[in-house]
Amino acid sequence: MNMANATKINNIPILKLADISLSFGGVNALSDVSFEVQKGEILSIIGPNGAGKTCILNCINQFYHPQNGYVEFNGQNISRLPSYKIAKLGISRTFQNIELFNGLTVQDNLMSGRHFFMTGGFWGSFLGGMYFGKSHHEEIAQRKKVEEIIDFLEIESIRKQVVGTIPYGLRKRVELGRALALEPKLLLMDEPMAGMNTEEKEDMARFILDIHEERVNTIVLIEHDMGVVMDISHRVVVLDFGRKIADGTPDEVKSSPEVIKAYLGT
Amino acid sequence: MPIDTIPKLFKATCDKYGERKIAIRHKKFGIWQPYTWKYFWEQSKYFSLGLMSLGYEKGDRLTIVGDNEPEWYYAMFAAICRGGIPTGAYQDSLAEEIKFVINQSGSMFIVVEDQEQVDKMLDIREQIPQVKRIIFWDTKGLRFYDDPLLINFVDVVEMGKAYEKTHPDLFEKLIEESSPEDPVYLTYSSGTTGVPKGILHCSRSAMASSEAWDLPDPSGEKDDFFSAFPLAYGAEFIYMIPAFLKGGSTVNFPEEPETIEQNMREIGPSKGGAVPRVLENFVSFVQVKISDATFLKRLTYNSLMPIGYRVAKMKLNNQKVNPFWKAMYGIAYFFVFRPIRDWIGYTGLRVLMIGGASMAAEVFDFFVAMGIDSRMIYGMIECAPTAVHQKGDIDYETSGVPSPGCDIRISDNGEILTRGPMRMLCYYNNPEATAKLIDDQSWVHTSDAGFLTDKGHVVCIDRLADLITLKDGTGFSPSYIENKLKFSPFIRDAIITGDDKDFVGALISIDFPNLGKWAETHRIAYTTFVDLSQKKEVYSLIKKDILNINRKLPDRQRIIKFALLHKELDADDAELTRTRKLRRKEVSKRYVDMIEALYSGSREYIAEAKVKYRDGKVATITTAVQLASVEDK
Repeated sequence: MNMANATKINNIPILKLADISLSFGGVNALSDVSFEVQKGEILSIIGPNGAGKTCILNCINQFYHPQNGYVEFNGQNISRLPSYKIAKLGISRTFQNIELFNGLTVQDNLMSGRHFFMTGGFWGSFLGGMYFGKSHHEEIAQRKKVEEIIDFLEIESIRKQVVGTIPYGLRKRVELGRALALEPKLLLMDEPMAGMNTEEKEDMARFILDIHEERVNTIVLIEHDMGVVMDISHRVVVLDFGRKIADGTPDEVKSSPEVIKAYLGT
Repeated sequence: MPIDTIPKLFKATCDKYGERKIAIRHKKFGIWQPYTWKYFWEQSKYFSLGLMSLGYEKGDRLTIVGDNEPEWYYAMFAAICRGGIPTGAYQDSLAEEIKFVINQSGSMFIVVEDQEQVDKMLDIREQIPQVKRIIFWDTKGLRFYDDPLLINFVDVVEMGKAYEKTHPDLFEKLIEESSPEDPVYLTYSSGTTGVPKGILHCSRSAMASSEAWDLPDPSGEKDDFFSAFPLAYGAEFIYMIPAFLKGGSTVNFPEEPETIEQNMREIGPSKGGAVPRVLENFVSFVQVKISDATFLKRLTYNSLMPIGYRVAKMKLNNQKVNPFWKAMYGIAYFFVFRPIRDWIGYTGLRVLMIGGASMAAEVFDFFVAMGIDSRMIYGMIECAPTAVHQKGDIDYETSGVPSPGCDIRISDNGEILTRGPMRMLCYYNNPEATAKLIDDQSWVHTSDAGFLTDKGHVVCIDRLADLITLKDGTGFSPSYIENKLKFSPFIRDAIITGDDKDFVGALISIDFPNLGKWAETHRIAYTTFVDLSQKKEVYSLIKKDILNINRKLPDRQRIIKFALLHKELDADDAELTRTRKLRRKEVSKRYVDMIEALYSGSREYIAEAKVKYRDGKVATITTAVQLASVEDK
């Protein structure tokens, strides 16, 4: 059963990838990949190992700058922009191998996601740290936003714990929280369910649907668990050896001979 | 107008304090959010009017399923003030179990917390055809649910505000019309003996219960309660709520079930109750932590703890504590007791009421040594508390003297009979069970075996049906021995056997976290619960504990043989109730073969256990369980 809710997906592309090619020396990681992400949809990218899935995400937020082709976000060409500007435009992401500040607490990690919303500057923040002035109020307002995310992701019990000490499944959730703290318009998730047990996977799938409903309208995710992918996504893009081999609804993709070939061999 | 009903008491208190005082605190977004009595009043009132506009009538039942949160209280008071009957189901129950509560009570309205519960309700909707509306208060994930049955809590409150315009003063009038014998609360027995029964309380009984509970130390404006018991369990309603209303105290709700311990520490409630189970866990927790602590800390604990025990003994014997011991106690309190109390959230606690089951004397001593005024309380939810320890008259081997207005009599077959104003109305829709419980002279037959001491204290030995008689006619209480066993930090649960047998046997379920730690420090490698439980070293460790206990028991009641169970006892397997009481009948049925093997003289038993997971799946595991004998050498 597909659980993705029937929000209106208006055919307005929020993100457009056109003829993206990326190579490292002689290795072609991506060749001529094009697809669009419509506003309001959950799009999954699947494919065998080494198909170039993470490369796509890295090209979207310009960790990698593709040699060919361009990326458009809300009609604006964002190729060649530095990553922090992409984040500021409203694209945030999570990583396959959790990239959190291990020595900070959960709430401080989430606060770091609110960095862009702080306007105080160095001296302002210094006073804010001493409980004075505008930055102090700003800090409180940001903290409130962070608390809303803590409530949303149900991580109240670990709020004050140092990230290095909490279990893996929860760290994934914290990282997702930090991505949400940016209040993005587009959320990229790199294998949010890798290494989780069935129960944790179910929880995470539930969170993704909730996020889609209440916080971020458009989500692009990479996932290996086919059950989850087919359940929660509106559309699926399939990659194999750096090329796009299918693009459509879960049902269409499932029955595509190319996909079956890529997954099962000939 | 006399304040003789809960709705009237509610109104009087809300009127008295209005915006001046905090009624409810709930931790949300990391901060304790305060709500005044006025807010509490308005939420309950408008929710109640909203329910009425949806067709909620006098006497209608309302099932509430959710964690302890203010909305639970609002919904409950909304129903009570209308003259309806709120009841609760445990939030972690399976849909089937909740269905039982909804259908037995015939609820037409259901108030649930969140998506999880809504999904459960929608799954069983064909089986609960009478339900008119399902009201939820946490909207997360529910935005696109368009089922006409569903409605948001705040929307009902808004409907109530609109309804008031056409029906002014209706709510206040209904409160005035309430009478002491109107039912106000329905709770379901835990089902230790078969199908749960609905216990129906009225204003009169709940207020009398609460008064007796509150008597040793009346609640006041400055008191903080902490709402941690599942609200579906009757104890909070009949003990705490009327006292909370009467005293104008504050009730605090935890942020999430997972944060209860942290939150309780932050609040440090001044009044509270606990079941022995929780206290036993505290004591094991402290013991394990101390054995793990550094040398200096261990030394401090071990040298100062005896002072606590000594002073506790003096206090319990009503002796005057002389200045020397007072000073010593002060030092011990500063270095040991205060930090421990802080850890378990008992810093501000004045009186601790312990009830629900019997408890080992060692645990009781521990809390008195910590400087906590502990009292045992006895009674079944149908008529509670029957007996309470009063100030200066505390003897932990008993449950204290009969509560005011309560008579106690021991029947010819040794059963405790009781009669008093705190008796419930009846079992809901179950006249046979009611007739069985309450005889024509309105004595409540508790099914507990017990006796009265010379000082007039009540001693409850055990459930009448649970008493065990050996082949030679020796009768004894299994739970008495079980409690002694459970005092060991390595034993989580125990089942004492021996009915119609030659000697006493025990099936023991180990405490996995504590024993796991012990195994680690003793370099014993293990993989799973099953593996650890069957280790030779573990057997000899537990054997030592049993030998210790055996020394304190009469000759014929000593444990001769025992086995360590290969799994934890679990409420999901129907082995324990949701409040973690042993379901003796179920358990002895389930382990009948193992018990037979224990008495057959064999040294090993191949157990095939069915494990039921939360989602209803069943799996079978096979294990060889060792059967060991305890030889006192």
